[in-house]
Amino acid sequence: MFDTLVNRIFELAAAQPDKLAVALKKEQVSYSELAAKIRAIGQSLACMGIVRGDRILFTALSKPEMVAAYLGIQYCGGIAVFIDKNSTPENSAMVYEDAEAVLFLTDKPMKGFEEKLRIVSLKQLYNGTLEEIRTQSLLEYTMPKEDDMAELLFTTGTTGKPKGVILTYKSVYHILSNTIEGIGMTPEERLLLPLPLNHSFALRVLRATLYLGATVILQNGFAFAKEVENNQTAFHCTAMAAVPASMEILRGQMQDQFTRVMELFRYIEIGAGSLTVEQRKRLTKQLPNTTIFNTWGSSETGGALFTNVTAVASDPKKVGAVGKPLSHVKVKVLDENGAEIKSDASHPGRMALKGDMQMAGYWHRDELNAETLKDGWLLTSDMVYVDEDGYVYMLGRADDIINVGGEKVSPIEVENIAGEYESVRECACIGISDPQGVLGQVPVLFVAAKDASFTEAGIQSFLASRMERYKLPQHYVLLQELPRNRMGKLDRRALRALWEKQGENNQINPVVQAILTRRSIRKFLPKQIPSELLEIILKAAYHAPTGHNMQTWRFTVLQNPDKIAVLKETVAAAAKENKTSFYGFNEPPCVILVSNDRRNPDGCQDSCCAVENIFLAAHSYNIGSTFNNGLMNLCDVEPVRALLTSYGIPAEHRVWCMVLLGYPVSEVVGPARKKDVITYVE
Amino acid sequence: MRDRVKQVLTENYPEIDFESSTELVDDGILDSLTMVGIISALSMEFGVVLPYEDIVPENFNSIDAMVELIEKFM
Repeated sequence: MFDTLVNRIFELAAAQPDKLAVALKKEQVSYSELAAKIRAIGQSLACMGIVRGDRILFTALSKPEMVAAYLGIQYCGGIAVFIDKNSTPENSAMVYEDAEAVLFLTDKPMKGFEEKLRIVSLKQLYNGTLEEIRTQSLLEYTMPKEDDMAELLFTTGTTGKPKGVILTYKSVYHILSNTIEGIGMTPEERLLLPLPLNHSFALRVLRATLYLGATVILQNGFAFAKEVENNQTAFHCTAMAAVPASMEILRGQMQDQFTRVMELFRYIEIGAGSLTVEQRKRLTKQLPNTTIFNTWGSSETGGALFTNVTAVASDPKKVGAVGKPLSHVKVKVLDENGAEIKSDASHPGRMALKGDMQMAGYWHRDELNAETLKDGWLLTSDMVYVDEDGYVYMLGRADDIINVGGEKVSPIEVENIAGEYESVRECACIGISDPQGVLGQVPVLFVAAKDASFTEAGIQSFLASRMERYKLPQHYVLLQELPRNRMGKLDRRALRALWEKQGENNQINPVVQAILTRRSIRKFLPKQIPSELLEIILKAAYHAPTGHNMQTWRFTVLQNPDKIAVLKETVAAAAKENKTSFYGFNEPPCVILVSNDRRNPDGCQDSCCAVENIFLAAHSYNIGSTFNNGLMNLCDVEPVRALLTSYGIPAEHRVWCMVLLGYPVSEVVGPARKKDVITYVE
Repeated sequence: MRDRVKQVLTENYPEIDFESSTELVDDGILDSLTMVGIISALSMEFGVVLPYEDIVPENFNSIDAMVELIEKFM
């Protein structure tokens, strides 16, 4: 069976002319209107001299005009080359040159490239107002051959230059029908598509929906969760396509409205990324009336492995599966030498796929093609194993597998297990060179924690009871957010770079590490510091050196919020009256007044040594701190002195510093340090 | 207030000219990922919780629109 989307749309235009094909808010295009636009654009392009096989770039905006342009190009036999709507002029030009294109349909300013590229306004072409078109063309659509090139998808990939994936009309047809079959889509779908239309996932969903004669509702991304609800209300959407990160964004904005809004979808297909086991369990619980699908796909194969997450959510093993291939898609698992193996959890291998949906190859990359396509099998870079029921389990990209002293560790497996630890919001695992130089690589876990209750000791014991010793992360790094690329996919390269940067710090002992990573914190959580920790911090304080070992200092601790408020008011009022500076005091749960006998000439220096000890000891327990100087020159002013006396601070003492302590609200990046402050006297 | 908002935006996204348009979202100057960061940065800086109904393109199309939105919830 073979067909093209253009051919199908003309059939649908006759069968259901008024049915809505594509919509974006008020812009609504029926099948007959879409067919007319496709023909008009195809004929206009022919007038402009476009011939069969010409590559034509166009900006993949989330608008009906993109769909008409995409198919209009194919109408006249051109090859569609999709350009990311956020692509820079330089990148667009690079693709134009690589593809040896003849035309770029866009309305984005292409500063500096107007001479090099032939640029035509997509809007004007769509509206039929292009001045260039003088003659009429009566070009009719002719069916291409199966193996004719239909599209070029440039994948950015995580390494270097983008490569163009060649899809023939045969690939395109099978990619769209695999999606229809894998998900069980119907002609009655009204599918919401808030994804970039230059990406393989969005494209296959778009093609599938139109081929069925269903309706596709476009949306410009997921930044505004309310738009999902607005579109649902306006169009009664039955389905949605999203990436894992979008679901988190929607939940973050919608909060307790999430279930109410999202359960109106009959199904949600998650693609371009794997939902973690925790996400799968959580989503299926929050949306029991919606079928959640998670599809494994690639630009080279379209969607190939489909999982009905809702159906497997309660199966402790299969909940982690990446999917089952459709009956006509073959899966093979290979060892490092390319030989087929019978795989299982302890014997994974590289996945290879075979089917009519696969790409013809990469554009102008013969060597890469020779490596990737062998005997009709397409080699992926994913390490997997297949269970007895044909379910495929993903261990990670081959390059991401961690080799711990010969034992292979899957970062995805570690992430899935760690993701179930209560205070982990999300996490990512990478392999780093063993600092001891013994094991080759060791795992490191980056964690975005839910709150301050996260402790390394806690997660270590959680993981130790759930995985083999060699899989345990050797280091933990707390981050505010995990680095992600434009599609919301985890950026492991950025994590490696982050580790390299911290690398110097991390090879050093914990004391120096604490010194190098401490930052002043001024915004605190209301959480109080446990007394055991405070005792240790104060012990560190009075272990600082003192001139002549005098130790005439005192450390006065306030933890009562009312008393702290009174202190703040009193100092603030006095500072105002005496025209001294007082700022940066923001409801710390704990204040330590470090005071010293004014008759001790080393009093100030001693106090400061103690304060630094307090800072570092606190930091080693993830407690934030800052130095507040407001009280220094006000100690003997009334009513300040009366207040200090009421705390038990001797009259001969001057309070050199107020240390403000508490758990930080968020990660803070410290100021850049001047390095050029050192002179070695030879 | 406007200066403070502008400062937060330009500190986080120095490459974006926030004065260049009053249709920052609709013109595609602010994309999905940028929007998520902006909402987060503004919420943290001004200590406001922006309710879901108000996170719509109209409220982020210009610096002035963002100022109005924040003041509404301060």
